[in-house]
Amino acid sequence: MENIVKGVPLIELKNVTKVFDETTVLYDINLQIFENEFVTLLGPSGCGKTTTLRIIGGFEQPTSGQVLFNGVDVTTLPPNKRATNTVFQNYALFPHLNVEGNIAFGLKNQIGEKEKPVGKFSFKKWWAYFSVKFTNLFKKKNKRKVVPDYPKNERLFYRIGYFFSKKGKLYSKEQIQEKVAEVIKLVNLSGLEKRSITQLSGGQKQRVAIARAIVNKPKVLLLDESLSALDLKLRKEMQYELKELQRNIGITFIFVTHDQEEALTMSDKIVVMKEGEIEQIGSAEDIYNDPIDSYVSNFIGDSNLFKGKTIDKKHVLLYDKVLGCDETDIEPETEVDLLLRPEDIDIVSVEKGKLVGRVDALFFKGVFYEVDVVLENDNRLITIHTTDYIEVGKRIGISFEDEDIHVMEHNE
Amino acid sequence: MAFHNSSLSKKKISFRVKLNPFSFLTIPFLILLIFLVILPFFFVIFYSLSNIEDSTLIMTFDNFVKFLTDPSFWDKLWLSIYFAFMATLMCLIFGYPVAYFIARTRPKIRTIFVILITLPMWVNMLLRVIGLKSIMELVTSWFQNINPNFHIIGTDFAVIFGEVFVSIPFMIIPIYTQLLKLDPTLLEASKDLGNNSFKTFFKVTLPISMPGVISGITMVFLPAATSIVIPKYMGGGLPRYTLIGNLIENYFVKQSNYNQGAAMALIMTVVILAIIFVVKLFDRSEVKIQKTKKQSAKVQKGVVTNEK
Ligand SMILES: Nc1ncnc2c1ncn2[C@@H]1O[C@H](COP(=O)(O)OP(=O)(O)O)[C@@H](O)[C@H]1O
Ligand SMILES: [Mg+2]
Repeated sequence: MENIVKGVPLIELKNVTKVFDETTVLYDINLQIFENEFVTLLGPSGCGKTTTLRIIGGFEQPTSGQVLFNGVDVTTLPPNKRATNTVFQNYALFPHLNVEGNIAFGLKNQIGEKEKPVGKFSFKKWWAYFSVKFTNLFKKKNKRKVVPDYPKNERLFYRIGYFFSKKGKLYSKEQIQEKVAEVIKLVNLSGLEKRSITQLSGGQKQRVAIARAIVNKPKVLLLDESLSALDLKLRKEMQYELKELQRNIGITFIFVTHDQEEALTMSDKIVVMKEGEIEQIGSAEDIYNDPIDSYVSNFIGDSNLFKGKTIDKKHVLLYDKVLGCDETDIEPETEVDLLLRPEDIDIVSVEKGKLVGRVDALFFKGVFYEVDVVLENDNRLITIHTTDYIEVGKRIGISFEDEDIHVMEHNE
Repeated sequence: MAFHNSSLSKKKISFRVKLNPFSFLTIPFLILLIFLVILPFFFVIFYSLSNIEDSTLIMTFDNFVKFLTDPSFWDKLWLSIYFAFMATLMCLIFGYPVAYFIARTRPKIRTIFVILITLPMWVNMLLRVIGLKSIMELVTSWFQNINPNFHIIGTDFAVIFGEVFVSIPFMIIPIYTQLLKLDPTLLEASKDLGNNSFKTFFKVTLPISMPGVISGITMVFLPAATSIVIPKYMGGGLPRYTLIGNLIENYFVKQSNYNQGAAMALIMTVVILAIIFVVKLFDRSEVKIQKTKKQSAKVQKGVVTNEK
């Protein structure tokens, strides 16, 4: 359906499976990524995020399945021939080059059509240029003559080179310098151009890694836990900057993280992974509000989970009480998991409460209090976020809107 | 600011090293260094600048002048360096790929290879050279059935081959150690940025392994330039293969002419130091600094001409 709306996906994984030494790391991954999306692969450590990213980047071949770019099969194409650039988990900066050298590394390799030589070769013009240039070699600096203007694409060697190959370096030295300077400004590294990369802090290294990738204007930028090494403040800053970058330069981002908050703030589309499989794909709101199961809901945000049973599309059974719920397509009379987010629960008087419990503990969290309440039904603990202070030990009722009960399939 | 901090912390570290209570452990070596290296070195200088004439000691530059004005000495010097250079080059050409592939095999196989490569060092070098000579003589005798003029011993090839045979582990091991440190994701990063495997080698692997290459070159070239045993046995006693090392040996051991022997040794030391200095210039950090200086100079020039 999505396919029809948005056209051919920029990247598509079709039934991708990956086996390492007889252990299957990815099972039948199907994923579509569209132009200019910020897609996040989210999941706990070891669930196969890096492997998925490496398959997209071309560093790893899927055991079976296909990788398509714009509908073209690129499964066996090496990384140097793909329209992707990667920001590696450990940055992988070249220790033998300085900041500038690292950033210019990819630009020097870009190949493009050469400009056509202009007009016919004129010996006179060449001699006027060459004789001055040559005699200047033997003169003192202040006595050198002004070299006549002689455009590169009129020169003899350029003509000969063009005769042999119509393709060449896309950028001249000056253009590369210009682009590098531009991107250095963009990632706030001005003044560090000549710094050796061994003398950079973690945050600076990471900016270099990002600059090195985006300066090539790739179609797709792959980022592997690129922010996880940074402290909280810098991480927030970089999250913002990355998002800005994506808006400004129009690159598709595929971002790997195990940090749910990071995923929620940055992504257009989140892919939640579990043990080598895709559990759910959706926008941040979709995944937060309508998690497909308890795994996803536990992974994203805090959650209170209950076992329950569906009655019809709009009602569920919870502790032998019939309650209204968010609309669901699950068959009636099915065992389900019910999700109540801590911030959706209101504390009310005992008589008005849909459920009754006793306040067990109270934690000050800055913006809100986290209240642990023991339910009278089965003595289990639930978590509530509220801005009002409440005494520990008090008997309270809890209430919530019908649509705050999210119904999810129950799975072991 | 950041710069200040780092220089401060450096000072602290060096201070700590001075106070380290275990530093006294270096004293035995320091004593050894003073009595067996530094003092003798002054003796060598003293000997080289002195002479005994009519049983009196006089100070003179004659020992140096004698060699430096003697064309046959220059020939020998040149030949010694030529052989050492060829041996180093061959060690590099054949040793680098070996180091490269060992560094990329699995750890277990790696260990086996490293042991195999260092194994010859467990046997006395003289024995190894004599062994190599016998093998060469054996091969020679086979080929002489076909061509009676065939020789191996007493050729440039034999001398260079002998040097390579003895020194190649000293080239392989430092390069291998350096390549082990090479983070494989750097190679992936290079490919990600548009290089194929071939270009990746020249743009990433080789520059990063350069410190290993430099120390390999030093460790092969130095002994090769002054070696005694190999030219003696591989040269088959021909006068061409009496190289600088053998000449120095002759002065000291056979003629007991310490003064001229010392002078020759010093000249050789200076020549080798000069060569090593040139080699070190190719070390990546230094190349780097020169390059950036040049680049910034260029940029400035550009600015000036633009304004005109
Ligand atoms: N080169 C490899 N060889 C063998 N197993 C691997 C390799 N790379 C990853 N794995 C395994 O694949 C699983 C998924 O790894 P990875 O994709 O790195 O997870 P994540 O990035 O989500 O933490 C892990 O169990 C890991 O041990
Ligand atoms: Mg990972």
